[in-house]
Amino acid sequence: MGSNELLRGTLDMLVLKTLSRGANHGYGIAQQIQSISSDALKIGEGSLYPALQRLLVNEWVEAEWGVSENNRKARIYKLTAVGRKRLVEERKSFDAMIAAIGLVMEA
Amino acid sequence: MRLWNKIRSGFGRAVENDLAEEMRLHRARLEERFRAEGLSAREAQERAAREFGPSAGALEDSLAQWGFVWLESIWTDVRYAMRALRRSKTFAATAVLTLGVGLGLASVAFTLFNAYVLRPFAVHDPDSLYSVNWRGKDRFIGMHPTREFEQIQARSDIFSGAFATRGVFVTGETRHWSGVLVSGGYFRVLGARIAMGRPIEEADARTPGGDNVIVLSHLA
Repeated sequence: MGSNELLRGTLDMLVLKTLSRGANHGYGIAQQIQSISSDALKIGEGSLYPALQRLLVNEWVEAEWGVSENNRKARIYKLTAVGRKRLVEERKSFDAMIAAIGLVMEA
Repeated sequence: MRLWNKIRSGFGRAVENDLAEEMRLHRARLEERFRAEGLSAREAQERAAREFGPSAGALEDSLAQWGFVWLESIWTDVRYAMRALRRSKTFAATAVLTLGVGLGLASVAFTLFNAYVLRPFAVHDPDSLYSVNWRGKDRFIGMHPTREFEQIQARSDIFSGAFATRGVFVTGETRHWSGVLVSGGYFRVLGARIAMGRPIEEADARTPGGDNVIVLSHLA
């Protein structure tokens, strides 16, 4: 499934969720989402980096240049307190939407 | 001022540099991984490009996310100015009044300038044009009988030409027209040029009640 087919706005939630497990860099975030979803979700840079910028603008995450786990230069993203709250909200509205879609499809 | 400072500090450029570097590193790590999986350098590059998606546009799309911040900061500046103006009401009122009066005067001045300098009467020599009236002992009478007009017209020692006019108002079924009845010399004396066809000439007025001719006006 291409990233373009991701429900609009879902990517932000996935990135926030990934960062809630610990600070990470862009590459790491994309890899985690891909491997946890068993390769179902492949995140291209065309959607990952706009999403990260969006999160930065809203101050849901903060970024800092640092060194990755294998000693490489990388820009590390960290969830902020506001971001953590946002994740809970997004999760709630996502669950509500999935439930609503389910109702329509079962009818 | 704050916005200008932001521009000068290279706010946008810093974001762009960070992003470009970040994407380059991301791509490099993908390629590395594919190399480790046994692909050739070129294959790894191609595969990374495929997985990463088309890179053209990704940077712009990411930068565009900041656009809202810029707009927001302009809006903040406007609100800040409004608050400041509200605090000093006299200053605000004076500024508004000064600008208002100034603009009003300027537009009045231009209207006059436009009417008298830029678009004077569209006749040959407006300054040599005179309106002839006669005044009775107690009341003002503007209209001349035809015979008087003919006498004035004959005085070529005073006037190089004369014409008479009379305003008419025609009521139609659905709309109305205002027009001017003119003597034969009207266009020749005024030296007014016409856009299409021919002007009314002396010959047209030679026989009273002869052929009716008309010249339509248009707004220049």
